[in-house]
Amino acid sequence: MKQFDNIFHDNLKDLNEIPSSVNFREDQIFNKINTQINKRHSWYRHIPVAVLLFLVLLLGGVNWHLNEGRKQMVSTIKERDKQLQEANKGYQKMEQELLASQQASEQGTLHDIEQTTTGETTANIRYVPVKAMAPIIVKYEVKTEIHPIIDKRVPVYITMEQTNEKKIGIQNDPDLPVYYESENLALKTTPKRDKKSISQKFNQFINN
Amino acid sequence: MRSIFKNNKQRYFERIYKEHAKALFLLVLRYVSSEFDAEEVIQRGFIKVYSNLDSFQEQPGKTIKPWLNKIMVNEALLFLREQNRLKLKEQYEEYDLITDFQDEHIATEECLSLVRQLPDGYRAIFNLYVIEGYAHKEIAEMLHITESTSRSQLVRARKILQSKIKQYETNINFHYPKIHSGG
Repeated sequence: MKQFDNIFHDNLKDLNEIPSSVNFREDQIFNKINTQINKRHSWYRHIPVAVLLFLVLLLGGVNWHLNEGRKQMVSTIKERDKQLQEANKGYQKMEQELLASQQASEQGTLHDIEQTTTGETTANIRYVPVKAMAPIIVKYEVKTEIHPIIDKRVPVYITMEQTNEKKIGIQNDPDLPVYYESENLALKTTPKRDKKSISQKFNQFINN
Repeated sequence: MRSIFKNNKQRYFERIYKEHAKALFLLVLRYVSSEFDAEEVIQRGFIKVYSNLDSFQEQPGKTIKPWLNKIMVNEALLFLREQNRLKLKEQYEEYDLITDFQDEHIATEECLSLVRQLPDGYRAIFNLYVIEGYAHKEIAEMLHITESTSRSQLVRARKILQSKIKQYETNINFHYPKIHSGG
């Protein structure tokens, strides 16, 4: 198919002349391209303007925000000033009343003070008269003797073995205290000593 | 300083346009068929040329024509793709080779007209393969298609062109029988 392809290749490759059937508006296209290129380049020129505009807007916004805050502050200060002025008026009135009362007290017309009262309730202190009484002196006499009192009888449970032992003790010598203990009890209470010296063993033997 | 460079660039660009605009317009016309579309593609292409002119100038010893051709071909293909005109599907069909095709003389204008009559997909592949000289592998990469699709589209394009040439020859013989018989 090379031959067939060559017809088109030879005719159309590197074709420079515009055929009569084709309309090529060379200048108009070039003008359009130029306008588009200039437009593209002019876009970069707007960057500083845009940055400046942004800064202006930003500063304007900040300024507006500050102004708003200042306005709020002024309004609160005004309100506070108003409140203080009102309070001041009250104090002035009170001062006038006090001055009037002072003048009245100086002149000796105490009844005028009653007239100047504002009607506000005040604490009225009333002193109640108290009768003087003889002091009560309590004398404690502490005795060192303590008398035991039988409060309650408590049952004591004793085994039969213990009772027998007691009986034996009483039979032997009822006047003397019985020091006797069972073997089991002795084993439990007295610790075993395996290692004993000969003298100790001898003494024990004699004692026993 | 910058304005001097800009003026130089502008002058250089203007010279390029004057020298190559016609050829590039015809090249684009082979791809997009319509003159109106070709103007649009040419504008886009030259804007790209202008913006990339500095990078091209940095490479000495390189001729500008292939670079310009490549830009325009790419722009034309991009334009067709944007308009969803490149619908390339693989078509398997029997193709009867015309072996007795004679090396007839067809006018350049007629060649261009025949190519412009082809459907968009066939035309793109025919131009890329036959006229620009790209291989099927390169075309497949450029158009994001398979090599076999490129081949089958080319076969279809050739078939259409051959039938159109035959029609063209018969018309000429019909209208001007004496001229041909006398030659």
